[in-house]
Amino acid sequence: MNSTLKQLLPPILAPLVGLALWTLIVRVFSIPSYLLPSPQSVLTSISTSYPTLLYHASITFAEALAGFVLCIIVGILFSISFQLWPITRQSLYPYLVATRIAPIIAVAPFLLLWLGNGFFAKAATAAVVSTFFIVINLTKGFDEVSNGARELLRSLSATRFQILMKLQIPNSVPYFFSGIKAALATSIAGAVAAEFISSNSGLGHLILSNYYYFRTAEMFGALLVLIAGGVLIFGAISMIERIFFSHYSMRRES
Amino acid sequence: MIRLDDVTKTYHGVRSTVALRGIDLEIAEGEFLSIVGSSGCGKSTLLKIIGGLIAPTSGSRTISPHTKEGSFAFVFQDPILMRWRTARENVRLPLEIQGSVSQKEAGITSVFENLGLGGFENSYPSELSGGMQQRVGIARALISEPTTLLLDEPFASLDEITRERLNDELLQLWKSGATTVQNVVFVTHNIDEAVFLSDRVVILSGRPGEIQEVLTIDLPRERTAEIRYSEEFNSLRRKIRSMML
Ligand SMILES: Nc1ncnc2c1ncn2[C@@H]1O[C@H](COP(=O)(O)OP(=O)(O)O)[C@@H](O)[C@H]1O
Ligand SMILES: [Mg+2]
Repeated sequence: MNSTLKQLLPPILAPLVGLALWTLIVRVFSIPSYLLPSPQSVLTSISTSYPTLLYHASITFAEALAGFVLCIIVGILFSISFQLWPITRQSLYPYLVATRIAPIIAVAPFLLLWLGNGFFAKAATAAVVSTFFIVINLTKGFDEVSNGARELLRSLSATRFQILMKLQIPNSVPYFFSGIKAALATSIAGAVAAEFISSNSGLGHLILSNYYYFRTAEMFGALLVLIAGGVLIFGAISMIERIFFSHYSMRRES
Repeated sequence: MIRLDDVTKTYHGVRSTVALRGIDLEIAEGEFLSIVGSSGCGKSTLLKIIGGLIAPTSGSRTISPHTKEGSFAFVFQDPILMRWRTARENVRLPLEIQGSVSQKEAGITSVFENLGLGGFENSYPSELSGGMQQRVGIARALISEPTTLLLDEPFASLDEITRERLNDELLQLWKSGATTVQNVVFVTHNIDEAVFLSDRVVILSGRPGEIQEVLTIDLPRERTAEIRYSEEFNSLRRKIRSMML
């Protein structure tokens, strides 16, 4: 009990200390609020405009999550095809990295151009920049089964498909979770980037439109909601992994 | 009956390795055969060829119709259990792959009993000791009802006491008729183990692996733990050791 308290204290205290410092700096140096609003004014802005914030948040997270689900489906299909038909892997895998190198903000205009600047284009931007992480991690999990385990399955006359189902897919579960955690972050980034370029709703739109009017407290509010939503989803994923998939983990539980 | 005639195996890698050369070997029905030799002399390769897991580069492998293909089961040094499966689910794996879960699932319980694994059905591999893990590995080999059991240094990473106990149990199980196993081919670099278990011991010399000697172990088939301290046992052990030099 005492030791868990000791473990919990630093992460709870750190932001409080940070907020105190922030307040102090704003007061002492009399920083104008359009540059750096005090934590209090950020909180006030959030509490007065939370219906608006929630509305825009629901749009952004719907886009991000649609892209996230899409990238998981597409990523799984690609990864499995890479295993079953090596020719697809040889021809496509090297170019996957290109989707990661291309900056999101530079890719989004093309997607908006082709898909219209609605919901689907934003989800697509989120998916395009995130698929990489699913494929890279799943492929690693599929590849990193021991030679011994492969040999065992061959000695049982398992088919290529059975090796995938009974060995490679279960083995890749922890890699898959690493992949979707990374993909979640880029899905949110992709959705916001697309909103920056063209939209009239969403948290990205909210940040940018407030920026033009120097409403910095409102910008902070939108950013905090964006972070809080992302952290919440991230936590939910971690919890699902720990509760339902603990035996797939590489850690040896004692 | 399994017969190898003039079997050669060459691995083609960055450098070619001749792992086996000129192997002639016949394994009779109902025989317990051990293969001993120093590390890297081709024991595992020979076992895999006997079991049909890899094909010889040249030479031939013949099995009598009685010892039909597909009735070989392997046990490896590392038990290779799947961490996400319980002991019972690991043993069920061969049945799932062969599509015979519904016919043979009931057999899992008796295999667990035979191997002293009762009560561990729902344990995960990480919760089992090395000895228990290897018992699960043996149970998994037995569940598909093989006629030939092929073991590749199965007890090499276990302590002396556990190894001897498992040797005793393996012998009991094989003789008891509780399983379908007729032949056992047992790879080891432990001479005691080979003498204690076998009807015959094949001594491989290394690089390239060739059969140096095949020694018949003319101890009574009733092998008790005390036999390890007998004069005959010791002289056989000394004989093999001298050949392995
Ligand atoms: N898959 C492989 N590819 C290339 N060389 C191999 C392979 N497997 C074994 N060898 C080589 O063949 C020789 C015999 O190996 P192995 O049969 O594993 O010996 P042992 O089981 O007696 O230790 C060794 O020199 C080893 O390096
Ligand atoms: Mg070996």
